[in-house]
Amino acid sequence: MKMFQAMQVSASGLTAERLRLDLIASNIANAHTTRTETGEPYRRKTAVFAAVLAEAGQAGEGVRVTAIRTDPTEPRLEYDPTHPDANEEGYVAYPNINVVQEMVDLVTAVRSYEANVTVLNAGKNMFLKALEIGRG
Amino acid sequence: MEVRQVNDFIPLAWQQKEPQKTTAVQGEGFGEVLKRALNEVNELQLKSQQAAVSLALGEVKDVHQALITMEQARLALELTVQVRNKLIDAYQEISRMQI
Amino acid sequence: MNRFLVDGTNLILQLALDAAAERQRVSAHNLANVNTPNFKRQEVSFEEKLKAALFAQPKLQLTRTHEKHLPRELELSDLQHEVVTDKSTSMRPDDNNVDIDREMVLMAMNQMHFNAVTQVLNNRYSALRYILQEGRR
Repeated sequence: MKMFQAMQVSASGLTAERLRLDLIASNIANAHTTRTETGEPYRRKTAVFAAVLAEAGQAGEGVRVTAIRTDPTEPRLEYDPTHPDANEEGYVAYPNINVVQEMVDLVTAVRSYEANVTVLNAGKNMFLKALEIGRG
Repeated sequence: MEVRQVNDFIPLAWQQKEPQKTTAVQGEGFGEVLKRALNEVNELQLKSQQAAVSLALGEVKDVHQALITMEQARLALELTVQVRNKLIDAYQEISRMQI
Repeated sequence: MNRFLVDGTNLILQLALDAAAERQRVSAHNLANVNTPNFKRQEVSFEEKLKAALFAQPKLQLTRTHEKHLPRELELSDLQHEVVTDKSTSMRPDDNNVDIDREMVLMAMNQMHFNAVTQVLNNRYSALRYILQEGRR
């Protein structure tokens, strides 16, 4: 419905931030995963956001996730020959995940999510106020 | 039942290049003025109806615009009713006059 | 008497309220099943169906696409809402396609739409009541 376009924009923001949160949760949970199904250590995942544009002169239509990027950098090597996943030289490859960085991203995602909810509520209040036109 | 499709609606006054005046034109009788006023009220009622249907079908971009249109129609209607009442009062007073 | 009180516009408004009420039930169902594996969300189809039924036949008569088809007037079932299943695929591993944020927003939108249409219906009835009362003189 056209009259709720602002709310749908906020909804797209909520969905995108929630996806980001899911990825951060996955990154933190797998911070020490040395072996995934592919045999490689876990690689950090991030989401790529892109704005959804409307016709010129109109407000945009929100955000969407265009891709989920896998971090291409080399994993961190630690010397531990007794580890079951150690390679021939005795090094174990650990994921390149900085938990502190992930926590910062987490806070950002949560704040963005809250901001979108605030916008949504503001839009809702405006709509309900408009309904008072002519009442009483 | 006649239902017209509406994409947008703008206040009646902004759509017309020259605002329609319901004041008397030279040589025009009171009946003509009244007829024009009633037509305008009818137009507003139709616009209000279109606005209501558009709102129910989710076609409206700004809800406040629809509500303002409906409110304008309502006020025009109330004005018409009051004018009609005054006319009836005037008629009754005249018919009470002793010749 | 009924035609006076339930004219075409009021009928559309009432049908819109029916659809909004059904949407609320469907939202509740979807949200209750947000974690059910293989669940596909439902939604209510109304506006497009109504517009197609009304604006395609200005004379309220269907044109015959085939000689053997019988022409008929619009029936209430042509205008009413219906519940359909959204079969789109989801990225979730449990194949459930409910997005909780989107569902919540849809529910909020629906509530506001219901409020707006109720308000409009109230205004129309109040205008009728006004005319009836003032017309006594």
